[in-house]
Amino acid sequence: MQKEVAIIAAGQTPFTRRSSSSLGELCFGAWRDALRGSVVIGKSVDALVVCSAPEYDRQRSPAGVVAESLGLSGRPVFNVESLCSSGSSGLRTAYSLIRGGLHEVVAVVGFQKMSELSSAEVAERMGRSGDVMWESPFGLTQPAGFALFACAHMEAYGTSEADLAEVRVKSSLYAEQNEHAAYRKRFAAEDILASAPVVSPLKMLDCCANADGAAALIVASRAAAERLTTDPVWILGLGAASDSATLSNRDCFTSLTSARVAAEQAYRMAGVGPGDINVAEVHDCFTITEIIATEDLGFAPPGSGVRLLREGQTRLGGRIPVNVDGGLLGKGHPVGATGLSQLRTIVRQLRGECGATQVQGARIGLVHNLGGPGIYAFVTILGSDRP
Amino acid sequence: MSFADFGVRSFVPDSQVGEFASHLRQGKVMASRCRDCGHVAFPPRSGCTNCGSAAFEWIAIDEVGRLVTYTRVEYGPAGFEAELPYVLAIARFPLGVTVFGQLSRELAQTQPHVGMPVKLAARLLANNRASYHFVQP
Ligand SMILES: [Zn+2]
Repeated sequence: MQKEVAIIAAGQTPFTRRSSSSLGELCFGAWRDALRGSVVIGKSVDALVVCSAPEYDRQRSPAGVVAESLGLSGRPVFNVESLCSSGSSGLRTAYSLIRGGLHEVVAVVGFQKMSELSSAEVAERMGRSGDVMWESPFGLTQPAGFALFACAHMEAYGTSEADLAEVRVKSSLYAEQNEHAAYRKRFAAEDILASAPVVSPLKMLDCCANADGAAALIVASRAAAERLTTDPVWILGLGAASDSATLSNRDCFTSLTSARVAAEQAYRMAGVGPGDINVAEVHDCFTITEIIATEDLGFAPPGSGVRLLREGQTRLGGRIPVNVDGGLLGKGHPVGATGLSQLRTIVRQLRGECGATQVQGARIGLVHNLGGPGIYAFVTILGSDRP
Repeated sequence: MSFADFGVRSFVPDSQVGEFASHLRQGKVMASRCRDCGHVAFPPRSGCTNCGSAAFEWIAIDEVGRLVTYTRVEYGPAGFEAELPYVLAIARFPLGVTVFGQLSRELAQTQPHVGMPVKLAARLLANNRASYHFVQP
């Protein structure tokens, strides 16, 4: 198990429906939360990777503005984007900048200020989330893309709308305890089943909602990590894959092929298997996505994700607690910040900092982060040195 | 008819496979086939992703396919207000292609189900636009 690159700091702003901060201020909030007063770590950063989906930004090329807001102007800075997995793209980029020897300490900062767009602008962008040449002309939306997977999963395995609701029941239980989550209301299965239909079989409460927020990680080489912290969280495995942007070129609708490939890569690199993971964050942009993710990651065989969920195995105290910070469903989904927020939760779990939602003795954690319906997929495995 | 007239709302005005839209006008939904290796593609492509050839011909998808999955959309994007609710679906055809599109209004009103046989048909829209949809064989 290689320990060459570590996350030495992780932070985020609260995710909210509408932030009163500018994008630079949001990023500063996440950066400050990550540093926790350590000026030394801040000064050691020698490059910055900024993660956002620019279609939501007023600011063209936000990387320079973010660097300036953090006092990092002068260092190399650029933007990376892969829709909702932009944050994981950023971590992968930082890892390779460090392993390639160009930099020792790299900050990865992701944000989205989705409330800056009017609802008309949101509706316009909503219609361009698929392949614009062949599939947007039919009115494809992001929720509809995932609903097509939900329908196929239900048909193949007997998954029901009540099963989907259980995912949201669980996430609302943990979101209530997460003071950084935007949507902290507790829901019962009946509430979810009675919410307005959006794209069958998904209803309003099966879908995550937009939010404003930022998250930040500081990533360091082994030498720098050993110099700067006593509590590094090592990057043990990285997996990344893609799939066609058009749904017409997909082979499978019960599973996300790219996520399965990324998981295999990450497990192989880390030298561990699904049974070794103590805690996981998976990309629950919709309730169905969490069920499919637990299958794609090998926590349950294909078609058995519902059983894993219904047995309580993905809750605290279960075999593999999943999204015990409330997930995207509970926290809200500021696109560019989401992947980094997932990683922050796992860093905190591996450092034993999660209080009431701490998974006792967690030493190896996993993050599963998607861009679109598996157009991009990233799986990251992190580990701590704690006994 | 140009490719800018494809679909309820289009975003791409120009393409080397823009003729797809003229075929719709003649009632045909076409895939592309590589003249060099025979690879069939849908959506149609002028460049073959299998062998790199840029020589292609048109081939009609006129057979009966089967529904793989579908969803009824109650909230649509800008420009689709008049279409709501509509059913998006995916079907596979013996030719070896998978096609994404809408179910016809008639078919959407029945109870669609996975495995249901469907055919592709051109759909003429207002303002001289054209698209395709899945219909009963
Ligand atoms: Zn060819």
